[in-house]
Amino acid sequence: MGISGDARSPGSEVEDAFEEFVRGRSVHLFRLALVLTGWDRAAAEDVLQIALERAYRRRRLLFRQGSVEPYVRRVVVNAAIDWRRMLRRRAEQPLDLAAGLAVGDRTGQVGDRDVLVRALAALAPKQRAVLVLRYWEDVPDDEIAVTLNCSPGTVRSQASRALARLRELSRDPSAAPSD
Amino acid sequence: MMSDLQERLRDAITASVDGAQPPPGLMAAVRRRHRRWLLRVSAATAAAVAAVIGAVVLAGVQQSGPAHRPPAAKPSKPPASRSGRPVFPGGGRLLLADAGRLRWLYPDGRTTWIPGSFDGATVSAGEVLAWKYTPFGPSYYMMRLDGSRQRLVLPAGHDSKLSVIQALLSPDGSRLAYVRQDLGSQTVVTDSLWVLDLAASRPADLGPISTTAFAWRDNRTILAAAPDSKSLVLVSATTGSRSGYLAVTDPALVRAYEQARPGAGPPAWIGSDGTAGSGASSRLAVWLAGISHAPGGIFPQEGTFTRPAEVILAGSTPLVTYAPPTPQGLILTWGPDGLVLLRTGAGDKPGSWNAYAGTVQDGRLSQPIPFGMDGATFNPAGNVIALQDGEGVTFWPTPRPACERTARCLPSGPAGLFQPGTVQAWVQ
Repeated sequence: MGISGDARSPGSEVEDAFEEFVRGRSVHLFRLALVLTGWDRAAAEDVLQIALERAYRRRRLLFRQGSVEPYVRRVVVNAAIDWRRMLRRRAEQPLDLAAGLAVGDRTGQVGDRDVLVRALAALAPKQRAVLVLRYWEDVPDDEIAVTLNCSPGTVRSQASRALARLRELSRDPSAAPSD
Repeated sequence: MMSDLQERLRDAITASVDGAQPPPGLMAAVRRRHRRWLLRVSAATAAAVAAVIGAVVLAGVQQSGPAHRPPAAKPSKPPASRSGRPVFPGGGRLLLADAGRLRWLYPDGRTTWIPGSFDGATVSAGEVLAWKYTPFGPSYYMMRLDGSRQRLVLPAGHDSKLSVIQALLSPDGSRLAYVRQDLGSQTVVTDSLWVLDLAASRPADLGPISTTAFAWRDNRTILAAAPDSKSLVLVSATTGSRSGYLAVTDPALVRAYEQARPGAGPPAWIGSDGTAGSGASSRLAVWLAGISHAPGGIFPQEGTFTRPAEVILAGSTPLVTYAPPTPQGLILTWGPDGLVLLRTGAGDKPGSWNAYAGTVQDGRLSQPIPFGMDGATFNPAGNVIALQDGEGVTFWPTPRPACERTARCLPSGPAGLFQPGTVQAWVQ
């Protein structure tokens, strides 16, 4: 006779739920971390592990509040921003922007995507995070504001400024990647 | 409704991560990381309990009460420690950044808050230089130690430049040097050194530098790395004139580096980790590194450093070279009286970070201390180090042989601080 769900301890249910969450959402969260770290795979793995470990510490509370994903996303975003700052301070490993990008094709759709992705990677970390959350993740402005610890108005102005910068970067022919 | 650019951006991001998968065994890795965290917390807890015994000795040796208690900017919390034992060893007072605010913490557990919201701070020339992040970068403020007389000295987003990424007060507090980062194109980031005369509120562009570190040499001169990180230059804060100070090809530096890192070849990059002392006893810490064949990043020189070492110089004569076992990063922190702390590690990998204590008189380093990934600060007496890892602070008596330069070596072993916040400064 198997162990029924009712007979299991609340702790193991939370454990199972957390594993289920990781199984179901880790691909998407990893891709988010990848974009936010400038397509640095090692950094994205680190950032995701940091976020999941922090969520794991608080798993009971987070499941009770039903807020695991927003919490993990918040840690991913802020850990990626911190990582980018730390990288500059410590002059460490590179943003391997080439990884995963179709850099060879400079024409048509692939070329356009490549230019946009490089322009996105060149934005300041917080601006990049706003664009990614707003236009790729479809996160509402008030939730982005909570994630980035700023006001919704700031999110909107930041998005507008980041888009303008992105437009400028992706139009500037002298800015085209030289490799 | 999305614009064309927004749609293209969405497509571009989706395509760029298409097929990307997290590493296998992610949940197991998370549990391993969690176990390491538990071990670290439990070790620090046990050590904190054990340290209670030694705390009596500590309290006798160190001044446990603040000699210059500032006026409370906000009502103090009741003392956290009612047992009479200090909440941290080493005396003095700690400036902590805690959830967007700054507070002073005293050994007896008292806290005084600095009014306003700030994300970080340093203490220099008897004043606090604090910053708060805005969507356009940090804004910098100066204030007295108790938080009074706050004034905005460097607002964020004051022009089209992207951001201010570092700022340092001159030793006399009259000028603020800072690095502005300008994104010239998708692949080129220009970092330029600026100085702000605080009395006149007048900024001046001192030209491009490398951000591998810069430091005030005296109240009028800044030591910085040239944009190509091949030499150190002296920059006049008053006229902007530059003169070469030390090149990475300097034969004495090359010898020191090759002896410290046998087989690495000559160093390819140079940076400054600041000076200590003044006049003839002044010492300069120079960071050197070899060239890596790893692919570079979108910013010049990122990812091209390897096998770093630190050389302590008197003038341009090498005195001591440190080359601890290090995977990637190497950061030197100056302490009082010629003490140094070297922190080494690999990115954001908590298990890889170690700290080593040393002195400028002797190339011997202490045994590694397995903390300090996110920062380190000596106490004013130099015999205790606060090591920051994430949200936790571990206090570790300065180990031998470095502690022999201080008034007294304290019994070794960690003590954790389980109060929220990150250490920004430790002063009397």
